[in-house]
Amino acid sequence: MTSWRASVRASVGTFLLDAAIEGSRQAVALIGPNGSGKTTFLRFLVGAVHPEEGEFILGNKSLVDTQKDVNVPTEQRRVGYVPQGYGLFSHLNVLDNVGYGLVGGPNRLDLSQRHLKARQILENLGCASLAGRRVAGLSGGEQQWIALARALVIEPELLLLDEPLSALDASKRRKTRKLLSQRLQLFGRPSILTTHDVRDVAVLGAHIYVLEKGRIIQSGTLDHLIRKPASDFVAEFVGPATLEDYT
Amino acid sequence: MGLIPLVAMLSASMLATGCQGSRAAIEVKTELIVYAASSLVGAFAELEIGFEEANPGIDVRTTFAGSQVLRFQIEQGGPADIFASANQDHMEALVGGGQITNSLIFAGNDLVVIVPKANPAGIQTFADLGQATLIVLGSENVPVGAYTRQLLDNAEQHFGEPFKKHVEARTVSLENNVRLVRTKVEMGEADAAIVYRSEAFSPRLTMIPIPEKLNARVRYPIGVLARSENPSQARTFIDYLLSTEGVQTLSSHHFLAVQ
Amino acid sequence: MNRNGFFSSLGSLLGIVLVSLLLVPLLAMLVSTSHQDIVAGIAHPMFLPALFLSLKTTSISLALTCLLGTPLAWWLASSRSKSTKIIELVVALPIVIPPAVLGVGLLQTFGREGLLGSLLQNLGLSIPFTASAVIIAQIVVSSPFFIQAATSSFRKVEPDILMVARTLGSSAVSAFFRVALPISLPGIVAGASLAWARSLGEFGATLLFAGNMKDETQTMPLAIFSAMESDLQLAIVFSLVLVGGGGILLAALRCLPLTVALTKRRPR
Repeated sequence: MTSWRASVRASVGTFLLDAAIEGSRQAVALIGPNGSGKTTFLRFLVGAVHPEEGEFILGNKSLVDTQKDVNVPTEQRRVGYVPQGYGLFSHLNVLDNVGYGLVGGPNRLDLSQRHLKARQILENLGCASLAGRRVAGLSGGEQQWIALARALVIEPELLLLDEPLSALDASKRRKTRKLLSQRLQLFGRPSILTTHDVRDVAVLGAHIYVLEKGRIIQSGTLDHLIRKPASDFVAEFVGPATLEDYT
Repeated sequence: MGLIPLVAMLSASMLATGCQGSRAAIEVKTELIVYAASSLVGAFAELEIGFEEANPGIDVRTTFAGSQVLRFQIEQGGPADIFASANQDHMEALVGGGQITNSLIFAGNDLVVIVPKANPAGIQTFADLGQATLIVLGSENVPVGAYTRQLLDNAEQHFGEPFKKHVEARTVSLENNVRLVRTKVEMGEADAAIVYRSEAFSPRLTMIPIPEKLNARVRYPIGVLARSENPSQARTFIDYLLSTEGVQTLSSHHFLAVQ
Repeated sequence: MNRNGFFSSLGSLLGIVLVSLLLVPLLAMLVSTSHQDIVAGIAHPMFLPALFLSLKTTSISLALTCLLGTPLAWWLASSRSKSTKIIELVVALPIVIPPAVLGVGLLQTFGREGLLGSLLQNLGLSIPFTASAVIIAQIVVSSPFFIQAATSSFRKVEPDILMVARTLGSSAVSAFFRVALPISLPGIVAGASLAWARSLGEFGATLLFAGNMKDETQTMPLAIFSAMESDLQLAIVFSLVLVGGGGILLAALRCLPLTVALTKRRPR
């Protein structure tokens, strides 16, 4: 089981992101108001942001260390990424999207094996029927599973999900939340997700980091946050969780 | 002064100036539209000024283009009063087609060789033309090109076949516009070109004369269009060209007087 | 008629007027041409050399434009440097400069007396009045259209998508070829069509820089202009062939992404 830790100090637009988080087996949730730097943090982990200072250790590998001038290129980090909007490749069908990471590099497989593995993972996620479809016709929920399948197929060491459920309508969210939680448990590797919704955190049983204006203002379990919210935002965030029927 | 006399005086003066202003506006000038071959551009600009000074009631507006283009426009009904061509064929075609009743020759020209001031090919006489590696000529389709072909045929008879063949082999561009031919030599991008004498006077060019017996005789005919609405004013313009002042202007632009 | 109906009809009318303005002159030329004219035109000694030269030079200039323009467009689209604005402006300039003036500029650069004149002479190269000059002139006038279209297309590719591709193991170059380029292809092809059309019709810069010589530099537009001096009907026939041929080529180019996509869809 891989453990990881990351800290970053970077100027983004009008504010400074200065945060450190870590995790291992348990899913980690990064919450915060819009513009607090959640997506930027994920983009740092992925390698899209160049920080003034930063460190990112995944397992026993140092992926980023500004002091030692270490900056492993994105394609070698083994970090899976499902961005907001899912980022599916519109020019490829579902099967080719999922199999993308298996075409070159260390995970390379030939055509038939690639398709086999892609189909396998689609089945695991319950989307086998979508294999030949074009991206354009997929619903938000379907896109989310495809994006997840695509990220999982390369067996990443760490999985990043940016607002994975926000594009879904309320009715879908409940069901998908449970499924996602199960899949992540099955996946068995560390994951970080950002979310607006406390119910996502509750179902996932994640450890929470609260990011406000680029700084971590609280870290802990959901119970901890409910009992001692560190800010108005946190209090508002946990609000729905104090109601009985949130699952 | 009382108010009423003041107003009366102001009104009177305004009316007076008003009358003068509008009198000038009432005086409408007759417009003469001249279609002239491009090689006449410099000369006609000056002739226009001189003519308008002598005839303040006439406003001359000139369009310059290749003679072939102007002929085409006239055939298509272009609103010209006068046509001045660099080539007798075009004029004869229009006379034959009835667009022009008759014409006369008002100026002449002949061909010369031009080389850049630096003379990279070292051409001193017409016979040296074969030394040039980059020659630009007028295309056969335009008057200057047709005259050049005549010249080269004459030269072939005189110098023998190799001369003409050499020149043709080293011709790198055939332009539809004599000004363009000249420009390329002025820029030093061509070693030599053959253009009208009237085009050869430029600080960036050296002119090399062509023996008279080989040279082409360029004649500029001018005629009034049959459908012109101002035939008498048009004839006045042509008379001006043939007058002492007109001939002087033309020769200052290096056109040859007509015998 | 209600308000929407009125505006809709007005819009259609205006559109029809514009399309007619574009189409009717072509039809007028077509109608004025007889069967014999067309045969005579195609048999004329100016025709085949000009056609062949046009096809050859425009193909080469298109290929070079795409080759040189695509990386530039990608840089313009993805770089955050301030110099992109300046470069974009420079790239757009040839569109507003009269082609003949561009021709003079090219002569003043590559000509014997030009900025690079002595350098080229030392290398044994003489560019004006050659087919290379034709190609260079075509590239100068047409590449702005390609670069603008390609840049615009590349800009529409969301950076997130490329990031995802990279997390899946693609290097930056690989992500460009496997994701950015295919997604942008329709816009790039449209830009290439426009550039090709512009080169096909290119006249002023070619005339000044390359000159007008059958078999060497006389492309179709130059041949048309020359023909016009002596035989208008000939010029019209040449023009109709240019329009017809050019139209077919453009249509084929537009259909290219479609054919590529169709061949890829075959079941495996």
